[in-house]
Amino acid sequence: MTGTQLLNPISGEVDADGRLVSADDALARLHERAGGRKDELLAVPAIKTLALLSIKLQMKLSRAVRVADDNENLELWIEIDPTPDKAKLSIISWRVLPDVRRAGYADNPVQIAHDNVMKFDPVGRLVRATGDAAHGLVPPDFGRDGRALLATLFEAGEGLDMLLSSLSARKATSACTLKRISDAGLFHVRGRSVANGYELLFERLETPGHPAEPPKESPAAGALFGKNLAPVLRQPLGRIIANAETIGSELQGPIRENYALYARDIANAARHLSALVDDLGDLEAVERPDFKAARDNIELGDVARRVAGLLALKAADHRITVHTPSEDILVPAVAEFRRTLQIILNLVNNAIRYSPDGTHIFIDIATVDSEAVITVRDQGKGIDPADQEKIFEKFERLGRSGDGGSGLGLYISRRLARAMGGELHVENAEDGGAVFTLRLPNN
Amino acid sequence: MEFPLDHGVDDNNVLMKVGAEHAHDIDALCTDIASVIFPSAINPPTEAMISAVSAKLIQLVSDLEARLLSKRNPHFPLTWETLSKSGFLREPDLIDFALARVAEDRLGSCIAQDKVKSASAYLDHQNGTLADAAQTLLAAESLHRSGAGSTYLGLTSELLYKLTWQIVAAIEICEGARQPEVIAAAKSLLSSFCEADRAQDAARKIVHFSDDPTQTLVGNPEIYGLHLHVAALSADLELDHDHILRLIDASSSAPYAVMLAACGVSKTHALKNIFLFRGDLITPREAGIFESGYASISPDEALVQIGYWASARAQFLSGGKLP
Repeated sequence: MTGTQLLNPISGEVDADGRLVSADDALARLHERAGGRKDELLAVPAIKTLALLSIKLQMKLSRAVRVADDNENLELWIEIDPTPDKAKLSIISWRVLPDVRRAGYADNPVQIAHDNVMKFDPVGRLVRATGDAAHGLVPPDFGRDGRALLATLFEAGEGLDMLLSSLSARKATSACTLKRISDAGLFHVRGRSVANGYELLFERLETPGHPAEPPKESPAAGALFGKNLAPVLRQPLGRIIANAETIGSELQGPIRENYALYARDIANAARHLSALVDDLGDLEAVERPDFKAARDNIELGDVARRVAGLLALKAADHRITVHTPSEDILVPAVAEFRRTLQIILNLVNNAIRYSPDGTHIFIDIATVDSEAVITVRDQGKGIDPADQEKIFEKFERLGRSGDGGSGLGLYISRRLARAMGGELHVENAEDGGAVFTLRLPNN
Repeated sequence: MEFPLDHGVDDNNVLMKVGAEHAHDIDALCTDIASVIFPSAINPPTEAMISAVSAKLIQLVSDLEARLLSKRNPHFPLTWETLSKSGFLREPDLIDFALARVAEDRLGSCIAQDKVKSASAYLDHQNGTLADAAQTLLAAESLHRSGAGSTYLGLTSELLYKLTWQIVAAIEICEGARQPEVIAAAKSLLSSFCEADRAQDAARKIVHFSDDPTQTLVGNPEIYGLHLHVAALSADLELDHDHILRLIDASSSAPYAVMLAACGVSKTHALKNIFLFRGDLITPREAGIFESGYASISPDEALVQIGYWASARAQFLSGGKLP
C-alpha cells in the first residue's frame, strides 16, 4: 500500500492493559508482523503507547505515528477515541515513507573509530564515556570537571600531569601510560582537540602474566543498586503509584469508599517503597570510598525558598507554615547545590511529618565563624538528648513505624554534609522543638 | 553512557558547532526563565522575555481557572498564588510551552499576513480530510481561538491534563475541602478537548495528507505561513513542533540554518527564510558563518546532529534524568 488516505479507515480496539482486542485485517497483520498474537499486547509500541495515553487522559488524540513494517517505514494518521476501559483506534491514512535518510542505518553504517573514549566539553566537563573508558563511572560524574575526575580515577604521575595540562590547553598529546586505580588496568591514552571539546582515546595494554580482561567490578561498582537496580524498580513503582492514585481519587467515576481507601493505601505503600529505593541508591553512593560532592557557589536563602516552594502543598495539607529567610539576607556557601537541597528537603520534610498540624517551621540562615549555617526549627516535641546522635545512625527510627520514613534520610544527610566539608547536628530549642543545623564552608 | 551536554559535533564546521551550542542553550534558557519567575536566577534572561513568559503563564492559568470556576466567580482568581508558591510552574515542559508561544508570536509577526495563502489554499481540496484540516487550522489561527479565555486550547493533551489536575488540587487546598463540582468541571473540560483542533496538529495533518513536496512547504514560509512551515519541518526532522519554534527563535540563526540544511533546502531559500524570521537580529558574524558553512553541510550530517538535539530535549523535559 503506497497511497495516502484510506477509503475506509482501519479500525481496532486496545484495552487498558494494551491488548489488541479487535482489529481490522491490516492492523491485525501489522501486529502479527511485529511479533504479536491474537488477544495479546499490541506489538507496535508507538500505537500502543498512544492508545494507553488516550485511555489515561480520557482525551481524544489525533496524531501521526511512525512505525516500521518489514522493510518499510510507515507513517499512519491515527485518531483515538477513549472510553474508560478501552481505546477505539481509527487509522485514516497509511503512508509508506520514502527511504529515510537517517545516518546510522544498515546501508550506511557509521564507523565507530574508537570504542574507548572519554569526551569533554569546551570547559572541560565530562560529557561522554564509552566502552572500557566508562568503567566505574556513575551518572553524577557526567558534567563534573574532567581534570578533577581523571585525578581520582588514575594514579598520579608524569603521564597524568601531561594529560591534564593538555586537557586544560585543549592540545593534542602523544600517547602516555596511565594506571586506573579501581582495577589496576594499564592504558595508552591519547588526547586530541575536537570541534566542541576534547577527547581522550583509551587503549588497554596487556601486561605480562596479566592479560587484558574485562574490568573487575570495583567495590563501589559491585553494589550496583543505585545504578542498575533502582531505575528498574522506580518505573513499576511509579506506575503502581499513578494507577492507585487514579483509582483512589475516583477520577474515572465513583467506587466504594473502602476500595478508594485501599487504593490510597496502595499508593502510600508504593510511595514509601519508592522513597526507600531512592534512599538505598543514595546510601550506596555516599558509602563509596571515593564519594565526593561538587563545589558549587550557592546561596542558602535561595535553597531555603526553593525547598519551601517544593513542600508548600504538603505543608498546607497539615496547615503548617514554612517561614523562609528574607531575600535581603544573602549567605553564600561552597557546596553541591543538589545535595544541599536534598539535605534541607529532608529536614523540612521530617519537620512537616513530625510536627503537630497548624504549627510553624522556621528556616534561618546566617554566616557564623566563617561558615554558612542554615537551621530548620519546628514546633514539635523535640528530640530526647539521648537520641540526638542516635537519629543519625543507619536505619534508626527511634521506635517509629508506619510513617513513611526509612531511617536513612538523616544518616545520608549527615554523610552528604560531611562530604561537602560541613556538618549536620541537632539540638532542642528552648521552647521544645527540634533545631537541625547544617554548617557548610563558605569559601 | 551519554550526557545531554554532548552535542555530537566532531567536524570542524563552525555553522554546525554554533547551531549545536545554541540548540543546547534553549534548554538552559528554560531553566533560567523558570528560576527568574520563581526564585532568583544566576544568568537572568531579558526582562522582556520574563515578562512575556509570565504573561503567557498567567493567562493560561487564568483561562483554566475561569473554566473550572465558572460558577464561582467571587473566588476568581485564587490559584495563581498557590501555584507560583507550589513550584508546579517550574516544570520545564510548561515553561517550554510558554516560551514556544512567545517564539510563535514573534515569528508570526515577521510574516506579512496578507501574502500568506496558508491553509486557505487547501479549503477546496478534493481530499475531504485535507479540506477539513485546513478549515480547522484557519479556525485555530483565528483571534477568537487564540485570544484570552482560550489559550489552554493550544496545550498538548498531556500538559492540559497535568495542569488541570494541578489547578484542581490547588483550588482544593485553598478551599480546604474536596470540590466535587470543580472535579466535574475538570472532567468535562478534558473530555471536550480534542487535540486535532489545535493549530499545530491541524497543520501537521495537512502536511501528512498534502501531496506538496515537504521542501516546498519548508522553503516558503512567507506563502504557507508559520504553522505549515513548522509542521513540515517537524514531519521531515521528527522534531516536536514547539521545539522547532524555539530553535528558530534561538539567540542565533545557526540552529535554523542546520534544520534547513537537513531538509535539503537550497542556500538561496535558506537565506531568504533566515532573513524573513531574523532579518533584524542577524549579525555580520552570523552571516559570515552561514556563508562559509551552509553549502558544506550534508543533510545526513545535519540530521545526525538534530537527533542529538531531540534526545537532549527529551532528557531535559523529563527532568534531566538519565535513562
